Amino acid sequence: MAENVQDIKRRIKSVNSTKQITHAMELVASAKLRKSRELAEGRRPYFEAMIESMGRIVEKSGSTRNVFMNQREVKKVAYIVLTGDKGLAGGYNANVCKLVEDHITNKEDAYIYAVGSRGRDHFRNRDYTIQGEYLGISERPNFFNAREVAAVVMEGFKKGEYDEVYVVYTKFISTISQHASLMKLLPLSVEDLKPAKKVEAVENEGKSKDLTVMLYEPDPEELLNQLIPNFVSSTVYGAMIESAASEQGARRTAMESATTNANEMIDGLTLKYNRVRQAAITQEISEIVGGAEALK
Amino acid sequence: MAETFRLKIIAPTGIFFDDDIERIVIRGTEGEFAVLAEHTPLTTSVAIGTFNIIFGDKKSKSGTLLGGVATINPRETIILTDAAEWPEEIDLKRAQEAKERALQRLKDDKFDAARAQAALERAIARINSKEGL
Repeated sequence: MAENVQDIKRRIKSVNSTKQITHAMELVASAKLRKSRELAEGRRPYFEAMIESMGRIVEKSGSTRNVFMNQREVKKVAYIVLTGDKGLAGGYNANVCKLVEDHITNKEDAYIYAVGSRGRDHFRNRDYTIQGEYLGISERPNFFNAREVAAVVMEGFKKGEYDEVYVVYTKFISTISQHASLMKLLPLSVEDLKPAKKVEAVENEGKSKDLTVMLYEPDPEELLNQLIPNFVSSTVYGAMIESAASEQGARRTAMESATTNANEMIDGLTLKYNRVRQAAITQEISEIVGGAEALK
Repeated sequence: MAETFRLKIIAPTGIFFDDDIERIVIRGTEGEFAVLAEHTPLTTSVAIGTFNIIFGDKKSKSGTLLGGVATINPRETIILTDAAEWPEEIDLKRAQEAKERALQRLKDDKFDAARAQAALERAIARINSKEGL
């Protein structure tokens, strides 16, 4: 109980102003989270329709001659690391970086494409090869950003600079739960494109409309060449929006608990403050009484 | 009244158009073509250009498609596009500036010719769509 009344008062004030900041950040993150989720919802129909038509073409042409479907012996690996530009989001950035580090077997054979300054700084400080960096787009990614990134990695893959490309992003499970995940982007696997199709085929069996032969113009090969970049871009875009939503979710949760902690601290300090004040008053009274007694 | 079919235009940012229509004219990479109901199943690529929809009640509507793939079925057509726009959404001044810029870049070797060409096509499609209003 060495602290005096003034010190405690000052501490309460300081905790309180921190609390106001964290609370404001929480509110901002909630609002942004809502927007990001809307974006994520909007992407779904495109992605589903895309997988369906690609699946159909792959099934029909049965070709795996496309360069992006070629499985090669894996020596060099590229990672698209999706992190935020800002911190204060709990483990959001750290989880993604850690996942990448755990997955990398050989530092020399890993290329990093960093989206977001947090991821870039992390890998730069640890001397990884940073092949590309995209800053300022994490919070509100658009399709053209995604296409740019996708085009770069596809080019690198085509030239054989690396044999596999992964996207590392944060899966948005719910507002309070997000998981860092690793997804293989290239080479594309034919199996990935099929399952969705199967369900639909069963549904359509009664109508048997699927039996009419689909024509392709230009030929399936060429269409596939056109669709694959779109598919890759769309996948990257999806990962970007999901990460953006996760970032906001993670920040909201982190700020919410910071606000709660601040409240607890203020409660504790207020109690202490009152006790110290009470003790001072009691002491004063007993001093006065003691003084009055002595005068008698 | 002529037969109608379902048209869905889907962009990465969301569903752009989803309604029953009578006819649509699209610019494909192999040339312009129209789709009516009961079209034979066809998957084809879409070029950068304008499209024109005619509804069952003869009203028409046009817009811009910035490339993509169309999957045509007898009762339903799905167009997956990189981006779609109505003329109202197009900024004519911006499109014209983009056109000038693209023309400049085509002359200059420093820039990627393919990208400049694509930008030019986009700008021209937007201008056409706006002026055809």
